[in-house]
Amino acid sequence: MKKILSLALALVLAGTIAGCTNSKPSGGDSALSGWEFVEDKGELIVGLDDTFAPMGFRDESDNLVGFDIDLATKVGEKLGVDIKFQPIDWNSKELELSSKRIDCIWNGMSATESRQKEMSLTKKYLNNRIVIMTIDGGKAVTSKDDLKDMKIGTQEGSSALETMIKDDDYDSFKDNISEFPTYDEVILDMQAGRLDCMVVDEVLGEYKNSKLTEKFIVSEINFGDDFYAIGCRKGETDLADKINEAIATLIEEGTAEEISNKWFGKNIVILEGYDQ
Amino acid sequence: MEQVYQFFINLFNALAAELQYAKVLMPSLMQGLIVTLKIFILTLVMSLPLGLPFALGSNSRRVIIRIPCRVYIWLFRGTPLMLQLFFFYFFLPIVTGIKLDGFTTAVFTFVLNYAAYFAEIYRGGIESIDRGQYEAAQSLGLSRTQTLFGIIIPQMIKRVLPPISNETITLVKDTALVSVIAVGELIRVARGAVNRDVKVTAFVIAAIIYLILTFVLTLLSNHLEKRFSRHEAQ
Repeated sequence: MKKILSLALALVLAGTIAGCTNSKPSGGDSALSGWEFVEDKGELIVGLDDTFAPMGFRDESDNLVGFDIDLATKVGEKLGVDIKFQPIDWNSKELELSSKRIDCIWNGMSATESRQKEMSLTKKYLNNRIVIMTIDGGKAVTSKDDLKDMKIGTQEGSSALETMIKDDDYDSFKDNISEFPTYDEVILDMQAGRLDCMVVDEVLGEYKNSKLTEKFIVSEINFGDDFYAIGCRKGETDLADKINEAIATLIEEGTAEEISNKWFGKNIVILEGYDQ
Repeated sequence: MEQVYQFFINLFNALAAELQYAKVLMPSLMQGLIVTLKIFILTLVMSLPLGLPFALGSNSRRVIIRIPCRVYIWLFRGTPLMLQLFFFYFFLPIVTGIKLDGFTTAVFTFVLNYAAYFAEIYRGGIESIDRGQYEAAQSLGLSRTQTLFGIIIPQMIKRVLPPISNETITLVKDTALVSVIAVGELIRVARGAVNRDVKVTAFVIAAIIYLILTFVLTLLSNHLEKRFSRHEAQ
């Protein structure tokens, strides 16, 4: 009897383990890296949070749309590889990259200093700013001095937060900052009346504002420029260079400007390196 | 009077607009619901039977069977489900090269996690059966297998139904966790719509869908409980 039981147990266990291992083989030769790895598979897996409008998100019919989707598709055409969009959770993007589930992060990601160290970034491809938005009829921000007495909301790990930390006046308002998982919660908390302002990059802020019935006010002062870049695995600079070349061609052809006008109503595509 | 009238007009207009918007949201939310249901059903169908051998194993007199079963239950009940998802989704490919897709990882992790909980529920059920029944069965000349499957387990099933249905309702809501490995279930789809349209309507609809699901499950478990107690004296 006991033998039958242990046998049954062993069978169930074996079945579970077999069930997990015989799934699809991982694509590509994992010994390769960078552009060779991508070229060998014939596809570039672009990791993106598919809930991040207007860069990459799903429209009402569940299609992936957005500025980065259009640009990445064109880059794929130039490189001669298929682009596969892989939805990821934004908080796990570094793990997605290092576990080779994706080849690059391309999703309105700001080229912050820490990311320049952790990843092989492409050149900056989009010019953006960090702005302060307040509620209409609420407290206004005319100088950074005003932030001392205001409750500030922003997204955790965002470029807006990193820019604030680098700001000279940071110490005067750092205790007022609340960090949220996404800007959606920041907006909800603004509407709930707990926050006086949010610090956000302009592209995202303007998009959100266009959807709101009670518009936020963009303050006169801002925290300066913010640039987007595409992140490849650390050390895979050849892949980043390939993407740079493709974007340069798209800018020359005017395709990049077209895409930018379509999503932002103006041309904010650039291609700039970093100050060393 | 005029103001009251106007208030209702505005209210109805707002409601009509919300309903119109809800109609637009429905197709993608239904896609999310299908993923949620798939994870739920696959997990339930596999973890319910898988719990039994672990329950019996953790009561086994043989150390070689008992210890692994108890360690397994301890590990899967003792760590957050979210970390288990991370482990199978990210750690496995980094260390072993086995790369399961998000959905497979989600079902696999949920089955292992819920089997551990079900095992403990079964074990509790088995231990609640009076020792005298084993002795009675033995004196009637029944073998241990016959006693277990013919007498003990049928009674156990009836006793564990309430905690099982409780766990099942928790499972419906736990499926929302798999959005951390980017599986497009209901909550993730709703979050996408909230992000896109900067309106929380999608979350409200999602909450209503979860309520409907748990309501159906409650009815189902009531029905099962009645069915299993049909031989009991009134």
